[in-house]
Amino acid sequence: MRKQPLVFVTLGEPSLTGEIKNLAKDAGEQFSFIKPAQLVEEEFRRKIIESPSCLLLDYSCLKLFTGDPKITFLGDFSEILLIADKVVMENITEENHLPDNVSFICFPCTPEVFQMQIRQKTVAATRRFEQLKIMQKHKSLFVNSPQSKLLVTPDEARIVDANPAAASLFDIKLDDLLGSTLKRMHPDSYDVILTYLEKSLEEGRIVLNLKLPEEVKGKSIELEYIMDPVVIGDEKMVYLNVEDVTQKEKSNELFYQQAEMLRSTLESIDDLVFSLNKDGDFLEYYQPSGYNHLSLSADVFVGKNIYDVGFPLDVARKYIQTIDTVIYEDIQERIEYYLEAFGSRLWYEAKISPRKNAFGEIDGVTVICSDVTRQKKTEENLKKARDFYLTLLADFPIMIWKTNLTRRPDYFNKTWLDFTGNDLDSEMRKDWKEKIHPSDIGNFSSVLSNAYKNKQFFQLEHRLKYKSGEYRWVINAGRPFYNLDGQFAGFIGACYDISQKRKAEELLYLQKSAMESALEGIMIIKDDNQDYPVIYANKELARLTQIDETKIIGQSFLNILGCPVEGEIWKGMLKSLQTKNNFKGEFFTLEAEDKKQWRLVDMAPVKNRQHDNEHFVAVLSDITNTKEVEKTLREKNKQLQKTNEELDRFVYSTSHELRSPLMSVLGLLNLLEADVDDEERITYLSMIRESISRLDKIIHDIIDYSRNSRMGLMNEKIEFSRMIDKTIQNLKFIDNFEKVRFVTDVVESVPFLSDKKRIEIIINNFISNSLRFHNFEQKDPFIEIKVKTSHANAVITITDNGVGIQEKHLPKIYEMFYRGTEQSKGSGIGLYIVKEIVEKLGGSIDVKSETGKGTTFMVDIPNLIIRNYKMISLSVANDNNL
Amino acid sequence: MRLEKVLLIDDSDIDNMVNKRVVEKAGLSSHIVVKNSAELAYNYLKELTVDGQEQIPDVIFLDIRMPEIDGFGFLEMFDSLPEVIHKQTKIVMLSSSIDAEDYKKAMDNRFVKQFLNKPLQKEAVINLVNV
Repeated sequence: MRKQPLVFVTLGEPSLTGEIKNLAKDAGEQFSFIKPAQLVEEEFRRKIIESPSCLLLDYSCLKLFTGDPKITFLGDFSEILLIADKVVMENITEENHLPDNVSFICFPCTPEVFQMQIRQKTVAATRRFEQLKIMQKHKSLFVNSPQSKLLVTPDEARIVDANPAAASLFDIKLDDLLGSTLKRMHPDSYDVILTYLEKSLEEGRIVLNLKLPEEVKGKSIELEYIMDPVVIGDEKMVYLNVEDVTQKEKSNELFYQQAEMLRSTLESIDDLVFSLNKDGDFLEYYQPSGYNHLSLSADVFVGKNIYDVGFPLDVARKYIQTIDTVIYEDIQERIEYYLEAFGSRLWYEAKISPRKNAFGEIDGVTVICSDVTRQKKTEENLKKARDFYLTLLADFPIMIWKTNLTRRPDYFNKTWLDFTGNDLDSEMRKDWKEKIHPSDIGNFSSVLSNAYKNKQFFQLEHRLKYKSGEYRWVINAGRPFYNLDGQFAGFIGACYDISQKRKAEELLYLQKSAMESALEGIMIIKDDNQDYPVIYANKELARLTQIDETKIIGQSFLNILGCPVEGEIWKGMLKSLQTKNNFKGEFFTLEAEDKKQWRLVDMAPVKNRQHDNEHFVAVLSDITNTKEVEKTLREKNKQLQKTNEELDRFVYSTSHELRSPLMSVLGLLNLLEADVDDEERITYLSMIRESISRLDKIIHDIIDYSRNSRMGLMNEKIEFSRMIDKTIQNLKFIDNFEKVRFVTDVVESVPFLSDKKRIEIIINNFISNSLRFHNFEQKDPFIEIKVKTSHANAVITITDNGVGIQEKHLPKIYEMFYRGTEQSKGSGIGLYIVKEIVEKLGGSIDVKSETGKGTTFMVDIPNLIIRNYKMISLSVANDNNL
Repeated sequence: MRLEKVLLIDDSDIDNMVNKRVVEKAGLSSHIVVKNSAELAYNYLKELTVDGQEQIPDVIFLDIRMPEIDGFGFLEMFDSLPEVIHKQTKIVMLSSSIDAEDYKKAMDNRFVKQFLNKPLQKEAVINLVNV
C-alpha cells in the first residue's frame, strides 16, 4: 500500500512558527511539527526510513546539523526543504554544492509558492522512497540469491559486485572477487567472454556455456552464464547469472536411463496391463511371458471386444459394468474374479482406472490385472485360522475378554460367560464397573487407562462378580491387541480365578499369625542330613533361644536350642532326624544368672507338598515353671503319702485304743452278770470306771491332736501363771494328786504371744505325765514348773522326781501310741501331740531323764511379739481398759 | 478235756483279771498264770524248761497290743523256745483288734491255733477245749 508522504517541520526561528503553521493548514499535506533535538532520536529515524518523508527546516536550524556525522542523518530523508531569505540563499548556492534532494524555499513567500514547493517536494519524496525500496529489494535479492550472481563492466568484465553464492561457486573470497576480472576464472576464454558481453549490450540476454578449468576448483565443472545488460546510473553494466550445469547434464542422462528402465520394467512386470475403450474393445494389451490369463497370445486381443476373448460371461459383464462406473465417475475400481485353468482355480484382481487421452478427456480405462490366487488362498486360510482360533478362545478353560478402542468390552469367551452367568449380549452391555468389585474398580480403571496410553501389558488382581453374586478374586492380565492390518484395536486379556488360592493364602497367613503368636517356640527344620538348618522360626522360639529372629534362619537346629552338645538330648534329636522318627525330651540350659531353664523339645517329621519327608517341625516349650510345680507336687505327694500312712496307722491304732477299754468294760459286765459278791462287784465297778476314764482321756487326746493338725495358729497374749494354776486345778482328781508338791517359777518380764490353746495342751500333758509316772513312795514328790519369757521366746521347764524314763525308751517317747511300760495308763498320744504342737509353733523340745530319779522336759517356743507389735499394743491397751 | 495249766499274757491288769475269772468259771483249769508283758512271759517259759519242775502251759492266751514287745514279738521269741514247749502249748490270740491284717498275720503263725476277740467268753473257752 502506498503511503502518504509526511512533512516534518523543524524550526529554530520562533518568528517563523506561526507563519508556517498558517501556510501548512491549507497545503493539504501531513505536517508534523517537531523540535530539532527530536530529529536525532532513534524512534524518529525509524519512522522516516519506513515512510516517504520530507523535511522542512529553517536555515538557522541547519547549522545545528552541519558537522558530520550529524549531517548524514539528513540523507535518510527523501527530500529536504530549507527555509532561507534571499541573501542567505544566494550565498549558499554559490559556495556549496548541495545534494540533489535539498532545495530552498525563500521566505517570506505567498501561500501559492509554499504549496507548490511543498507539493513538488512530496512528490519527489514519494518517488525517491520507492526507488530506494526497489534498490534495496534488488540488493537483497542479489546478495541473498542462492544463485551465483555477478555484476561486471562490459569492456573488461571487471567484477563490480558479486554475491556470496558466486564466491562459493568460484571458491574465491568475496572481497578478492570484487575488482578482479573474469580473466581470473576463465583465462583461456576471456576473449570469448568479452565478445559475448559486448553482444549482450546490443541483443539483450545471451547465454554462454563455459568450462571452468580444473585449477580453480580442483575438478572440471561446466558453467552456464546468462548475461543481462543493465544501466546503473549512467554506466552500462551486465548482470551475470552463473549456474553449475555439470549436474544438469548428468540429470538429463539419468532421465533417459530411467525412461529406458521403465520400458524394460513394464515389459518384465508380472501384472497383465491392458486398456479398453468405453465399449469394452481392447486398445492395448501387454501380457508378461508365461502369464496364464486366458489362453490366448497377447497380439490377438487388440481390436477385439471383451465379450469375444473367452472370458466367462459373468466376468466380462462385471468388466463392462465397472468400466461404466470408472469412466462416468472418474474413479478407480477393483474387481475380483477367477478363471478355471488346467483344472485349478486362479484368482485375479483387476485395478481399473480411467484412461485419458492427450486432451485430458477420458476415452477408456487402463486395467492392471494381477494373479491373486496365492493371496486368496492365504486369506482363506487366514479366515479358517481365525475361525479356528475363535473357537479355541471360546472353549479355552480360562476366562478371556477383549476391549475395543473405547475400552469397552466387545468379546467374552464361554468360560467367562459361565463364570458371570450372563449371555454374551448382556455381558457386553455391562460396563467394567458392574463386573468388578467397587473397592477394586478404581485401581482397575487406572491400570487399564495407563495400559491404553502406553499400549503396554498389564496384570493385576481384583474381585470379579461371580454368577452367585459373590465376588471372587481373579488375576487379570491384558495385552494390546492388533488387528490383521497391524493396527492397535484394543486389549485382549485373560482372567484366572484365584479365590481358592486367595483363601489358601489367607488361611496360610492366619496360620502363620497363629504360629507367630503361639506360646511355644515353633520351627521348621530342613532335613539335609548334614546341618539341619532352620527354615522357619516363630517369635517365641527367638525369645526362648535368645537368638535374633533374623539370625535363626539358616542356623543348624542342633546348635541353637542350648542343650549340651553330644549330650543325651542332642544325640536323641540327631537320631530322630536320621531315622525320621518323633522325639520328645527335656533338658535345661544354664542361664547367666545360674538359673536352671527347663525346656521341652518335641519334634516330628512333616511332609511337604510333594509328600517328601524332608522336614521336621520342632516345638520348644519353656517348662521351667512346670518343672517347679512338678517338684513341689512331688514333695506335696510325699507329704501326703506320709500323712495318709499316718492316718491309716492313726485310724488303726485309734480304733484299737478305743476298743481296748471298751472291751475291758464289756468283759467286766460279763462278770457282773454272773453271781458276784459285794466285794467283787465294787472291784468290777471301780475297774469299769477306770476303763471309762481311760477311754475319755484317749478321746480328749485325739481331739487335741485333731485340733492341732486342723486349726490355724492363733496369736494371743499368754499369761503362764494363770494357765499353770488352772491346769493343776483340773488335774486334782487324779490319784495321789494331794501327795505332790507343786512348785511354779514364772518370770513374765516380756509379754508372750503364741497360741494359747496349744500351749495349754503342752503344759497339761507334761504335768499329767509327771503325775502319772510319779514315785509316791518317796519322801517329797514334787513337780516344778518354770517359765521364762523374753522378746525371742518362752522357755518352759517341767521337772519331777518321778520314776524317770528308761534310756532305751527316750528316742521313742514322741512316737504315736508308744507306751514305755505296761504301767503306762495313757493313750500313747500325749507326747506325740506335744511334739507336733511344738513343731507347729516353731519351737523345740528336749528331755532329760534318769530312771528312778526324775525327768525334765524343756520346751522353747518363739515369741510372736515382734511380728505382731500392733496387736500386742492393742491387746495391752484392752487389758488396761479392763 | 481239761487243761492243766493256762498262761495269760496281757498288759492290761483289768483284762487279765477278767480273763482269769472267765477261764476259772469255765472250769477248765485250776492253774492259771498271768504275765503282763511279753518279756516276763518269755522269761517264765524259758525257766520252766530249765527247771523242768513246773508244768508247761497247755494254752497261752496272748494279747497283741502291748508296750515294748507286742504279741507278734512274743511269737518270734516263742519260736526260740525248746521244742517240748512247742509241742505242748497251743497259742490262742486274745485281742480287741478287729483288724483283718492282725488276724491274718496271727493265723499264719504255726503256733497260733485260734484268734479270739475280747472280751473272753466262757463259751469260747469251752469250745476251745473241745477242739
